[in-house]
Amino acid sequence: MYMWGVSETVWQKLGQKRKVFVAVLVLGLYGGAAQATTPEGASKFIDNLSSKAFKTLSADGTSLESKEKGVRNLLSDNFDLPLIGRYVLGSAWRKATPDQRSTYQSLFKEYILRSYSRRFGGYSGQKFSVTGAKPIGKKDILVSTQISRPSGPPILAGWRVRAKGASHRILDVVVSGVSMVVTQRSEFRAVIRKQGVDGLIETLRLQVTKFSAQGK
Amino acid sequence: MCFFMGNEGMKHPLQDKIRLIKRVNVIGIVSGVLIAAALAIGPQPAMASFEDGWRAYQKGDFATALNEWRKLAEQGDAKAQFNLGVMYDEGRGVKEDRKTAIGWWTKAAQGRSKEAQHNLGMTFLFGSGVDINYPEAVNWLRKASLQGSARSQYSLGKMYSLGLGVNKDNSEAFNWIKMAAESGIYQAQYNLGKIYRDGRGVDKNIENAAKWFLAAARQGYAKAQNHIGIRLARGEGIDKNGVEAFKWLTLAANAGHKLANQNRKALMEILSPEVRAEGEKRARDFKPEKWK
Repeated sequence: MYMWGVSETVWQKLGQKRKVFVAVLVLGLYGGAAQATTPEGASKFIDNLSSKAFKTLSADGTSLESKEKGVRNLLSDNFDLPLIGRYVLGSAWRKATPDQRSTYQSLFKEYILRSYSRRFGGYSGQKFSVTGAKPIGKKDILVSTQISRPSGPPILAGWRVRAKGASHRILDVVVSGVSMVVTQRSEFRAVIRKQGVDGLIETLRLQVTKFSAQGK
Repeated sequence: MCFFMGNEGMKHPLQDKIRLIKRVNVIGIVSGVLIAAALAIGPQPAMASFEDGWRAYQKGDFATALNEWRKLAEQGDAKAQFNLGVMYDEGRGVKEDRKTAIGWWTKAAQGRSKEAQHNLGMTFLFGSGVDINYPEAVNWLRKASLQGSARSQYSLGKMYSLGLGVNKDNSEAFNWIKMAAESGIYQAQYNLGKIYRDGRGVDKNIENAAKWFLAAARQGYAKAQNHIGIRLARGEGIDKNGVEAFKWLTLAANAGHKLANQNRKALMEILSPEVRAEGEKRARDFKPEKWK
């Protein structure tokens, strides 16, 4: 009997019990990796996440800053930031040294968590609903959502979701047809063209120092 | 903002008006005080409206905040103009619109808002909504720096050390970065440590290098913790101390600093188990300190 990748001799040396154990292990791993992202699974994931986010945002008596910290933690747990970071760096990723990569990734994470938590930080008391889900690319699902506001037209946002382990991760957010990841990538490209990856790293380091709204 | 809590002195909005009053000084101090009091009462409705905006903003009611601040912004209130700019920049309650943000920040910056000047500097540095323009970035960062914004001083120092938008000038870089370091910006403290170590723009001074690495390390900056760890292990610019060296290298290594991890392993070989245990205990008990 031939097992994928396991040589005949090694396989034959294993006892019967061990054979069963190895087979179960291999199938288990294979099953885990093959877990497909279904529109239902992805929608449920986004729906759960939005309930958690709204719970955080509607907490009474906490400052906007601490609410946004809560949102930030949710984003950090549910966005595939290493993958997004790599994509956004574009072709410069392949040329970057291991040191540049790790510095860039930690700064990128900080930068993106900041700007996203601000973007989604203020939606307290608003209605969020999943309006649809369809496959996008080979592995992903785009979950469409609608955020209704007391004033102004609703915001339509799409969430690109991929299965990862037992759960899912968000890879991109599309607002009014514009992909945030693609936008970010073109902004970074302009900086890299002028100053290289080190320049981008310096810029990201400074960028997180922007002032937010101030009280009197 | 949790990131940079420097001692950035806030200028009272009435300061200029009060200074003017002092110059008048005709009827004497008593009437001066009376006029100042009248001025303080004067803009009351406007302040109340700013406060309403701020309260709404904190609740995440951005529509109300926009409404309140827009009225004030159109009357020329720099603080309201700045906040309105932030709302457009961050897409709070409105569609993200960098150009409109820049428009409001420019107005606020002309009204001497150092926050607006800093953010404009960052905008031109990054090219968000505008073309990258380093001289323009330097121009705004300098204005904010001169008004005492520590994070702007650090950024301006970096522009000088990199030669972006200005001619490279190590002595200018040193001056600005030192100012920011003294206000507690930990990246500036770390950079100042390196400047003293290498003698760039100032005489080489290993004691000062160690002092500033230590300052940034205490605030929890892993890169600085690695540097001060090495210096404590060698007794370079600071008294040799195995326990403290091991503490800092352990902290930096735990924060994912690869080089610190290697340095820590090397140090492990020469330290006694007791010294290592004490260093590790101190690392466990460590809490980042705020710069006072």
